[in-house]
Amino acid sequence: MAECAPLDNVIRPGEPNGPSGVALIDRRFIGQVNLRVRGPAVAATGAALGYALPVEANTAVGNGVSRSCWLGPDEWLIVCEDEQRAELMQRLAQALSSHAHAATDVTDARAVLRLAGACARPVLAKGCPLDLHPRRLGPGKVAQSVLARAQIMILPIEEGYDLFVARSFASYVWAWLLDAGAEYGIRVEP
Amino acid sequence: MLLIPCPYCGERAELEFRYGGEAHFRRPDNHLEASDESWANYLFMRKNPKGWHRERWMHIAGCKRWFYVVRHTVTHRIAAAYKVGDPWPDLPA
Ligand SMILES: [Zn+2]
Repeated sequence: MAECAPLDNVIRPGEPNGPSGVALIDRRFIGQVNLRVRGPAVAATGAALGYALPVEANTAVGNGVSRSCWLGPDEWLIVCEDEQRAELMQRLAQALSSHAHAATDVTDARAVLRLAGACARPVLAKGCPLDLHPRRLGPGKVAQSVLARAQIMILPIEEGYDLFVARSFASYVWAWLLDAGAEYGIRVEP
Repeated sequence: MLLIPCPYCGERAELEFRYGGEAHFRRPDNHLEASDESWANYLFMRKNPKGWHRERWMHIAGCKRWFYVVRHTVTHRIAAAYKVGDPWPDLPA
């Protein structure tokens, strides 16, 4: 009979309890622009971005430069690399100069936490009421919801999620994710 | 927990929403001349029915839009959700 000490089966942080566990990454300084437009300004925005704004609820569309996330019937969050932000704002201002619109640089409003790996979904499911099955929330989709009572925007990636959290909640959500991910051997990656 | 059908985002858990009380209250027109009684009605009087209720909800953690819900105050069954400006759906029998 194999020896088994009383604490052999408990969870120890940092030890994967599965094939590949999950990683938490601080995606610093992701450019974010909140856009409010309706009517013909929606098409004008598409011309400036190089792709049509997604008008279907809970979807996200993008190209190599930016990604536009549906937030509501006349509201989007456009995400890009920080270096692209100034040019994006300029392009939007030009394309929308003759339309009623609001394009607001909200880069500093939210932190972006990437939860990546095979166990990202079960970690997120511990604190989020959404159906997280890839059929409902996979790449190409986006959703605003709550995680452990904090408001978040969830942008699925190939294996995992980018979580957009108000900066005042970021350290709380970070700590919550480390705790929730402990049983999957969560590790912090640069 | 209620599963509330946001007319914009689809079905979501109740904790993504805030309740806004009875719907379709109209502020007295011509408010300078409105009587104390019509102000009191607007501000304080609510139907509080035992049964079907038209009420306001806001999807605060989602699309952040106000909309209307027809909910049964005893069973919590939700019969309809509709946008501001939409025609009012009938109350179930
Ligand atoms: Zn909604």
